[in-house]
Amino acid sequence: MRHMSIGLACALLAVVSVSPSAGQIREARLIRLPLGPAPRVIPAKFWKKPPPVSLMQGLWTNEDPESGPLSRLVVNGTHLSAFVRGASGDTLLGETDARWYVGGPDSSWLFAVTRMDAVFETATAQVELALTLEKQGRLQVDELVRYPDSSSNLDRWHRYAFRGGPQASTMKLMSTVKIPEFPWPPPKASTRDVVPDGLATRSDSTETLGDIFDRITTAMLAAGFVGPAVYGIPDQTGFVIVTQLENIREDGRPLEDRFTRDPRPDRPRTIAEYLRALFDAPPGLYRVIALAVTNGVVTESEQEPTKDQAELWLHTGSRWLPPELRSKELAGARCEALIYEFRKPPEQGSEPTLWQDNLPALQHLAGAYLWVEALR
Amino acid sequence: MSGARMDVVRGQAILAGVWFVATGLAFALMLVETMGPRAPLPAADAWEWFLPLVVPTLSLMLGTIVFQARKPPKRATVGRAAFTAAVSLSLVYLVLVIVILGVWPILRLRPDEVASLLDKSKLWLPAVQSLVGIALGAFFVSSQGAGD
Repeated sequence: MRHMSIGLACALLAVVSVSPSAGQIREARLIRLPLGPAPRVIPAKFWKKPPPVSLMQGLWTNEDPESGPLSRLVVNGTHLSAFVRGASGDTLLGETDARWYVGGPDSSWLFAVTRMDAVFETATAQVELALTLEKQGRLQVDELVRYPDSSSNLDRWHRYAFRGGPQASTMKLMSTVKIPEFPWPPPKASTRDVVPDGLATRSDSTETLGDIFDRITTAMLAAGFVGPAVYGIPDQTGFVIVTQLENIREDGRPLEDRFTRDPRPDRPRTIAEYLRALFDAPPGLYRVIALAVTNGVVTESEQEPTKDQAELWLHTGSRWLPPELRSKELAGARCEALIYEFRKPPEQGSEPTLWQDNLPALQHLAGAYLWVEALR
Repeated sequence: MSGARMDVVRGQAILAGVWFVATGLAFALMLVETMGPRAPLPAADAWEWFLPLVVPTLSLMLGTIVFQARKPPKRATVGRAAFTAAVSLSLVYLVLVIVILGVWPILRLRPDEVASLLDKSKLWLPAVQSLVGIALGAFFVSSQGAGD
């Protein structure tokens, strides 16, 4: 009986190993689209609908007809139509709502749709398309055609390069747009300081404002800020980035309800925190950080902003730096952090006012998870 | 039909102990939550809520104890069931008061919401207080001694 079992197993192994193209098919099924580094995806909860700037909008045509059957793509909002070359001209492969992503190789695209994925079901196969906007304004399209297991066809993958006319005009439109200017000199701040060299700006290298902007927005994104507002400075001598209004603790760290409008106190995690919460109701503290990148002198005006005004800065600013400013080189540029902290006393009906506390600006930055190393 | 009975003075002492210890704890919480410079609870509203919940019962207990202290000692007993009911209801009631005073940090309530919580508890807490009052009253009524 034991010999019979071993014999049966050997026979099965032999059949599998000589079966034609079994391994080939298994390998083909494992194809994954080689998309390169993942884009910086803004969590969907922050975007109920796609951001208004979509650089992928319009008609795209395949540069090299020999590269594969896909001929044209039409992007309308998040709706994608794909066409393939047929005997009697282009025919519709399918239409669908694509999944969209923001971010890309250039951080001025941080708030624009720059990648889309879509799946089309045809009679014979499933076609997956991944559209990625490249820095040169081309659209890289990866196509993976998956056939059902019953089919004798092998899965196949094509990479295309598409060109699109309307997208170029969108870029041109973006380059001519002026962004609003921040009140200059800036309104009176709670505290301010220069961000140490090497963190936001680098004095030892020639860099454009775009490079600095990218570095700062990347640090902000990593620190949990989404959609900071960008302002110009008079005479194009730099820019100002303003963060969302944060709810913070007295030590500069954010509350659990960091960005909500009506935050609740943090839940105590230790007995000591619980006992403290019983007798100590901290005042409402709010913070807006404005990072001014300029090679000019930063001073403050005497005018104290209100919390509502500071909150509005986020909404009245731009979401990206125009190409004109991006390409500008600014010798001696440095980043100055202006902290606007507002304190609302616990009494009912009291209004928050600008608060001059004892925390230094760099501690506020570290509390907001921005350049924690500045404190070391 | 007479069930198990216990000495009434002992029962009263236990009940008074429960009430004074628990009320002392609640009182300490009240002091902490209303008297500090950044106290979370509005003092006037909170004390107006707290005092009617405990003072009548404590007064009754203290009055009884003081009154009995002036009388010559008598042997009196009380039904154990009444005693158990009085102690149980007292504990439930006092724990509810202490929980209301101490649970809000865990629920992440804002100070205005705590004030609202106190206000809302006025709707149902007096009902529990009435039951406790009846149980305590029954406790005293059920006492019986040779001369009573």
